[in-house]
Amino acid sequence: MPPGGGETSKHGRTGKEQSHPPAIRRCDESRPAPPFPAAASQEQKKQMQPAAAAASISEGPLVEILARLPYRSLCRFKCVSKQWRELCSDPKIVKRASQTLSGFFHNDPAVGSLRFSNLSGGRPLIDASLPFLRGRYQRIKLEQCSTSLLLCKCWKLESGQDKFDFVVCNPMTEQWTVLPPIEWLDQDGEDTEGSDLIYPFLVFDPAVPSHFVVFAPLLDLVDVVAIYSWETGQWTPSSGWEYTEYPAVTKECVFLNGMIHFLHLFGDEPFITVQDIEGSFSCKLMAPMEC
Amino acid sequence: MATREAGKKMIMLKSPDGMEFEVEEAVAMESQTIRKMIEDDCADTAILIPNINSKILSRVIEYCNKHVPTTGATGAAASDTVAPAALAEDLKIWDAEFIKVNRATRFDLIQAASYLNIKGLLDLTSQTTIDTISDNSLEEIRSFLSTKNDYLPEEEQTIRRENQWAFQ
Repeated sequence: MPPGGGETSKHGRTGKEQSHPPAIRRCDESRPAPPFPAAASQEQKKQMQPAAAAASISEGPLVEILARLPYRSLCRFKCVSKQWRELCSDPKIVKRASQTLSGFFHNDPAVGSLRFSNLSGGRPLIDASLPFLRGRYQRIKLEQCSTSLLLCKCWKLESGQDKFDFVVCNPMTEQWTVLPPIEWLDQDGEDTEGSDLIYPFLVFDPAVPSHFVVFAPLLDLVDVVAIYSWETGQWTPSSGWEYTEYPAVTKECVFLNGMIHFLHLFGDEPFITVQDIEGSFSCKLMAPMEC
Repeated sequence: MATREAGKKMIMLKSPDGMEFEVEEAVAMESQTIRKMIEDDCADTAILIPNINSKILSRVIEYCNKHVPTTGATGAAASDTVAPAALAEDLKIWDAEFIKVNRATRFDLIQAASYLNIKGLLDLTSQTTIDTISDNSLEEIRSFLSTKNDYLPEEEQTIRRENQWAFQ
């Protein structure tokens, strides 16, 4: 704990009369101090780490302050320092932050474009027509929304109905990425044949910003799912899918508690497989027959 | 000072710098951490409060004394003739006066309130800092909280670009 600074002990007590000031007396130095009762939990003790530098704010109070800020402020304060970036990205703090941009994206058939309905009622903070994509694409259809990122099917001006790109974009930062065709090197270091990209499933964890992955099933392979990582810009095959007998239906995916849940419907017994964001297989759950 | 009205159980709190504070059990139990110790029968003798020096601990006790919901403990402020609304207003004024401390003390109070789990005090102490930093530029925040910008210029550019929307 940093030293208390130069504040005088009388400060703040002058305004009101204190009827019962705390009784203070100097304890006998020769008497051993009783041990701290075991009831104090380890977690609480952890918050009392000494400050790294006496002059600056220590992590304990900083965490309490950051946890009370809206998400937007957290993103801005990531730029203060590396320590702040780490804290502002901490899932425990991000989860407590109040979200200022909450609402629904939806396709509006009347105008043929995307709309955003702001839940907080005010002016939408983004332009849902995605003007930054309009220079390249004529028609845009929203396929999926994963927290603050969108996965869109985009058609170019001259292209036919079956020629389109899948684009992942952030309507706030106006950054976007076209998903490349699915292909990767096989074990011999030679190119495997490319696969068609159908039913991609976007996974974006706001606790790990600027990083998203896309899962895609392969038509010709049942035990592998293709995973695109924004970090590498490449597709890689998933591991641990030997247990599954039927391709995952990614249209039916759910991203929950940091895990992706794939629903496999086309067997005698439907089941759900759970994978982490890295693509490692976690578990297989039997689904109720009615689903 | 140690003798108080009969029927009120007293608890001894000790700071690591060797000061002892005798407080009513109800006042000490404003802290959820201490409440748990008392309820678990871990508080027979004095309770040592680690890492909270006597100066900060006395301020925390002062806060709890004021905010304890029973009459008597808050002294003259809580009389039968005072309406609850007036009481709340009085507390608000008292809080505003209480939090007029320097930054280092305020951070110490946040840390203490967090450790002792006193929600009201934690809200009060952290909100004041939030109000101060919310609308300030990054440079002002760094200087206000004595935080060093340890980004390389290109790193800062990248992280700023990634979070550009939050600056608009």
